[in-house]
Amino acid sequence: MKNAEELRAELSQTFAQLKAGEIKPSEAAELANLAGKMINSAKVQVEYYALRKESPRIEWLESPNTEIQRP
Amino acid sequence: MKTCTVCGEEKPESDYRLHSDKKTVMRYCNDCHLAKRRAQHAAKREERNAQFRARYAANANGVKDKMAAARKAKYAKQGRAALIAWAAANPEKAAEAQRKKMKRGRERLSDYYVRRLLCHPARSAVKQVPEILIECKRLQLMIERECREKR
Repeated sequence: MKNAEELRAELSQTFAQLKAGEIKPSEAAELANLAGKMINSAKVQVEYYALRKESPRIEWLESPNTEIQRP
Repeated sequence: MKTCTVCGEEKPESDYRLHSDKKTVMRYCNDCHLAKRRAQHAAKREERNAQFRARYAANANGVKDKMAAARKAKYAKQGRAALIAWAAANPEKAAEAQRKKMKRGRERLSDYYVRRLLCHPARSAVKQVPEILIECKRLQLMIERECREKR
C-alpha cells in the first residue's frame, strides 16, 4: 500500500470479502487496525502542517493520477 | 344570560360560540369549549405526530423534499449567523439537536461524523480534512463494525 487510494481499495476489498465470509473476522480486524494506524499517522501529518499554517504536498494522500493531471 | 352546562356559571350570550349553522348558541361557554378542544388536541397529539412522521418518512406528496427546500431557502436567506444566534439563545435545544445529528451520523457513518472523529473542530487546527482520508476511515469503521457483529 503505497498511498491512500491503494489503502482504500484494499479496505473495500477486505470489507467485501468479510461480508461474503471469505476471510475471518480476526484477519479483517487486524487489517482494520493496521489501516487505523496508517490513517492516524497521515492525520498527524495533516495536523502538523495545519498548525504550521503550511500546505505542502503529502504524497501518501495524493493519487498517482493527480500527477498526470498537473500542468 | 345563559348558564354553561360544563362549569355551571352564568355568562352573557356573547361568551358563547355559535354552532356551525351560525344561528344556535352552544350549551357551554367559550372558555369550556376551548378547554375541551385543547384536551382533544393533546389526546391525539402522539397519533397525529406518528402519522406526520410516517408521511414524512414516505415522502408523501413530496413533503420531505418541500421541507428540505424550505430549510435550504431559509439558510440561504438568513445565513449561518442566524443559526449561531439561535443556538446561543437555545443552548438546550441546540445540544439536543447536536446529539441527534451525531447519532444519525454514527448510524450512517456520514462525512460529518467521520470528519469529526478524525479532526474535531474544537481540538484540531485542520480546516479541511482530505476526502480520501475520510473514505479510508469510514471503511475502517465499517470493517470494525462488521467484525464486531460476526464475533
